Amino acid sequence: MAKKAKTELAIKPAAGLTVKPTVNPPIHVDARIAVGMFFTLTGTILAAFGFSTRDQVDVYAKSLGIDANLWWGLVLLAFGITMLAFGRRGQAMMDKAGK
Amino acid sequence: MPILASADWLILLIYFFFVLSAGMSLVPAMTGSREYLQAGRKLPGWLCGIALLGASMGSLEVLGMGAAGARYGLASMGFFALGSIPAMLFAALVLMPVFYGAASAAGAPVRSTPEYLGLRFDQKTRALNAGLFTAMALFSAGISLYAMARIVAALHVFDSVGDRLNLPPTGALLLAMTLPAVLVLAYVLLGGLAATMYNQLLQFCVLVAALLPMVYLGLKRAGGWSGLKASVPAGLMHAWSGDHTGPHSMGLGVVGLVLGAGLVMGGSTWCTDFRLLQTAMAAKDARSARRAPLVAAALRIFVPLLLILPGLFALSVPAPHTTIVIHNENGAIYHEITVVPPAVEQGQGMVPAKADANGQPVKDANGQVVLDYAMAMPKMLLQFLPSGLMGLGVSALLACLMSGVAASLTACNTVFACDIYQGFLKKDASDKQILKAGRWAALGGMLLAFATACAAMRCNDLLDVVVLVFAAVNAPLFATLLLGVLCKRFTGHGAFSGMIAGTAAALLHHGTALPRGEQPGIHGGWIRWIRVLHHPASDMTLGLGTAAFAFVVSLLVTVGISLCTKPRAETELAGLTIGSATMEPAKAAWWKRPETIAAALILLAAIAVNLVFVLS
Repeated sequence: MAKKAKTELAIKPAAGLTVKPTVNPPIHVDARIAVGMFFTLTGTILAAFGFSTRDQVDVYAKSLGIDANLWWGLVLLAFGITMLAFGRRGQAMMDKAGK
Repeated sequence: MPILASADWLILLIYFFFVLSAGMSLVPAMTGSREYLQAGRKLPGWLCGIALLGASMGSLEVLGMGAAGARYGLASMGFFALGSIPAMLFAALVLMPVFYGAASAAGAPVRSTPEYLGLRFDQKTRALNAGLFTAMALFSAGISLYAMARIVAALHVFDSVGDRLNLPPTGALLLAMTLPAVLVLAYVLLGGLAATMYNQLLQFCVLVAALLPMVYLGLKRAGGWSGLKASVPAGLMHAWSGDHTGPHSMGLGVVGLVLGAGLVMGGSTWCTDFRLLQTAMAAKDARSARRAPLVAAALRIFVPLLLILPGLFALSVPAPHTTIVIHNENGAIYHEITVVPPAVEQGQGMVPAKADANGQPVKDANGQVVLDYAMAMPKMLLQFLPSGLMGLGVSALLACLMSGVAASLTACNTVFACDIYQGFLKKDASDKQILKAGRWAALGGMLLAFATACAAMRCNDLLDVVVLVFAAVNAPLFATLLLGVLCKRFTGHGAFSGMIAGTAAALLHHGTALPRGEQPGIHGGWIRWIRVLHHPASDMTLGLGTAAFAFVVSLLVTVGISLCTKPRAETELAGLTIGSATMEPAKAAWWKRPETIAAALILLAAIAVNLVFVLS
C-alpha cells in the first residue's frame, strides 16, 4: 500500500508539468468506501432484524432453525467496517497524492 | 404470505440508493469523453479485475451456471473452469499489454476493440466489427434483461407492488424489467464506465454476500457432501466421466471439451469481448491492466462453488407437493391447503418444469417433462433465505442483471462514439461532441435493448438465439484478433474476409445441424433447402460446435487471403503486435516476472480445486 502511494507521488507532478495546466481532475473516490458503507448499513439492519426476531421459529424454519439474519448480519457488518477502514486509508492517500 | 417483508424492501431500497449514488458521485469527474468512456484510465488494477468478473456475470451467465449445475452436475465445474481460466491467463500475459499499450499515430491510446482493429488492419474491418458488436451487445443486453426479469416475476417478488398499482398480470414482469433498466440507464448516463465499474464491484460483493449463506444452508440441508452424493442422481456427481452418452452428460468428448470450451468459448469471451475488455482497459497503467484479468481469474476459481453447487443442491431437496393439513382447534376443524402448481410439482427437486399458458408442465416428444433449469439457483435463494436475507437475495439477482446490462451499454456507447460517430460520421468531432454522442448512444442503446426484451417476452425462443449470435460475432473476431496480435503478416483484406466468412460459417453450421429431439427452427436446422447434415447431442454441443466451426473458418480464410495480399509496412504497426509491444516489466526472465508467477499459481489452484471434486 505504502509503496503504491509513493509511485503515484513520483509520477503525478511530472505528468502535471507536461500536460496543459487545465488537466482533468482524477476520479477521486475510493470504491471501497461505498461498498463499506453499504455493508455496514445492511449488516446492522440484518443483525438488528435478526436479533428482534430471534424467538420467531416460523421465520427461521427456512434456514434450518439458524438465525441466519443475526449471524450473517454480523459477518457483513465486520466486512463493511473493514472495507470502510481500507477505503478511508486509500482515499487519504489519493488526496495526498492529488495535492 | 408475501415473498418480501418490510426488512427485505428496506435492504432492496438501500441497495438501489447506493447504485444510484455511485453514478451521482462521479458526475463532477465526467469532464471529457475519455473520463466518461474510459473512466479516465485511472482505476486501480484490483478494481478493474473485480469489475471484469462482475461484467462477466450477467444474468444469462449466472442463471446458466446454476442451470448447468442442475442439468450436468459436477462435470460443468470442469467445463466452466476450462472455459475461463486459461483464456483469462492468456489475456493477462499476452493480449492486455498490446490492447492497453496500442496507440494511434498521434499517441492517443486505443479506446475500443474496433479502434484497435482499425489501427492494426484497416477501416473496413473496424466498421464491420463496430456494427456487428453493437448489434450483438444490445441484443444480448435485451435478452439478459428479459431472462432475469422473467425469473424475478416467476418468484412473485414484485406482485404486491403490481397489485397495489392495479397493473395487468404482465405488469409484474414489466416492472421487473423497467426498474433495473431505468437504474442502469441513470448511472450509465451520469457516471459512464467509472460508475458502471464501481457498481460492478458492489454487485459482485452483494452476489457473494447473498449466495454464501444459501450455499452453506443448502449443504447442511443435504447432510454435507456425503449426504448430497446420496441424494442426487449418481451421474451428476462425476466431475470428468469418460461416459458421454448418459442423460446428464453434455455429449462432449475430451477433444470437444478442450477445443470448444477451452479455446473457442473461453477465448472469444475473455480475450475478445469488448464488454469485458473495457474494464481492464480503464486501468491506470499497463501493469494494472495486466493485473486485472489475473485478479479476476483468481476469484473466478471459486465462483462455481457459489453458482454451480446451488444447482446441484436444488435436486437434493424433494419437490414440493400440494398438501392438506387438517387440525382441530376448539371444536372447529381447519383445512390448511398448500397448493403447489402442477408444473412445480412435476419438477425434479426444486427445479420446476416449464409451464405452458395453463400452468401445465410442458412435455417433449418422448413424454418427458421439460425442466426449467434456469430456475434452480433463484429457487434455492427462496427456499433457504429467511425474510431479511431474502432482500439481499433479490438484490443479488437484480445486481447480476444490472452489471451485465450496464457492461453492454457502456461498451456500446464507447464503440458508437469512437468508432461509428468519430470514425465515420463526423471525423473532426470535438471532445464535447464525442461525450454527447456517448450519452445519446447509451440512451438509444437502452431503448433498443428494452425493445428486444419486450420482443423476447412475446417470443420466448429468442432466449436461445443468444448463443448463435455470440458464436457468429465473437468466434470469428477472436480468430482475427489473435492473428492480428500475434503476427505482422496478416492483412486488412484477410481480416475483413475472415470475419465475414466466419459469421457466414456460423449461420451455415447452425442452419444445417439439429440437436437430437428438437424441431427445426430456432434450435438449429432452419435452412430448409439443405438436408440436416448432423445431429449434435445437445443445444450446448451445437452452440460450441457452431463457435468452433466459425473460428476455424475465419482463421483459415484470414490466413489464406493474407498470404495473397500485401502486408502493411512494419513501421505502421509499431506497438500493435506482440513483437513490438512494450511489456512491463521489461527485460526480466519470464520466471522473475510477477505476472507469470501469479498466472502459474492461479492455474495450479484451478487444477487443484477441480481435482478435489474429482476425488471426493
